[in-house]
Amino acid sequence: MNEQHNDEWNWFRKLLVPRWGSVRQGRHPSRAVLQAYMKGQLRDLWRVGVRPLDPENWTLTEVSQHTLTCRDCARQLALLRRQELERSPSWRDLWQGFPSAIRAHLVVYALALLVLFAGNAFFVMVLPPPIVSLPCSAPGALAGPAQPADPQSAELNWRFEGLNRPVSFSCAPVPAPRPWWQTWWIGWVFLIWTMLLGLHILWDLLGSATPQRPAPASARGIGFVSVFV
Amino acid sequence: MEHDLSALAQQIRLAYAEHLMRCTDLPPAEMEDFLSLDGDLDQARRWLAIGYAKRRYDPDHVRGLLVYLFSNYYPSPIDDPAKGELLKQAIARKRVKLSELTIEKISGTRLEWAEVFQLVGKEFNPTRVKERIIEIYEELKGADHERTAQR
Repeated sequence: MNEQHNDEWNWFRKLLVPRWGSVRQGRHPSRAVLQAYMKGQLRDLWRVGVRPLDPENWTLTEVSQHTLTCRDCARQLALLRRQELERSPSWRDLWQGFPSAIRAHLVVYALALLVLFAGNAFFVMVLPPPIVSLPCSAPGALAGPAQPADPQSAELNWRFEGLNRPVSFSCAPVPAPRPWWQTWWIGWVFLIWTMLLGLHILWDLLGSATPQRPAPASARGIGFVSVFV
Repeated sequence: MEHDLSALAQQIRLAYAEHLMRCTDLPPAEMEDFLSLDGDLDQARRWLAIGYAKRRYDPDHVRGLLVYLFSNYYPSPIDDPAKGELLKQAIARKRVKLSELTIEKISGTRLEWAEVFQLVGKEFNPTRVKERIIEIYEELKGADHERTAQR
């Protein structure tokens, strides 16, 4: 069994004969071409063994094959790679440095906040604010401190003492205080997501604690999200 | 410029391998004469077998196998540890695609199977892929023998 396995590998190793000499001898890609090669910006054409007139006209495969045999160009590429590795990390690298669970939750949390803010702004613009009517009071009482008008005593005054004529009572609408679930929704979302984030990180930690073995394809599909949903 | 035919044929075979890996390869039937330019039919047949396997079965499995082979068994001209480090970082961060790779970019990087699977985007059984390629190679070899016998 093991022998057969080795035979198979030997069969493939015979294919990987190291190259010697460059077909484009005497020509070397410029530093700009090497940088473009590293960034994957060169053309990917099927072109082998031809000599283009433009010295800057290199394809992806031509640079690859040249640097496999030219030690000077390989050194230049190694230097460029070293510089790239030592470059200060960009915001993207910093972001990538976070554990995936935290990244996923930050994105979902930011999206949830955005949706809630947008929804809230929409409803505030479109829907009239909820109003309530204050307890009715007589117009004369408006200047003074608001007192609940008592229709019964007004009627008694009119009937027995002939004092006040019946007056129209004004009931002023005022904006109602928002219900608790609207006032505290950010905290509400935050609390729920914090809990989910904790569960996700725990899930990841438990997953990484197990020995690294290639999981079967069916098992790999079981992630935190699918189990949670 | 004078070309050493053997070096040119070898260059063509490696270029073909690289295009197989990036999935920009030409049909194997069209490549047959090119690959055996120096008369090394056996080497040509081996690469053709890989080309046919890629068309007959899941191409990503064959591409993954090629990445592993070049990464572990093809020598890099100089010692370049930054190359492996950058490639492994890029694979972990999913910032590299198979279609961007070259033999030079992966040679000597010593990728593990888990990293190859991540790069390809799926897991597969490398032994099964190798067996299938060797089966096709045997088919091609048998067909060539029959052709020679008929002449």
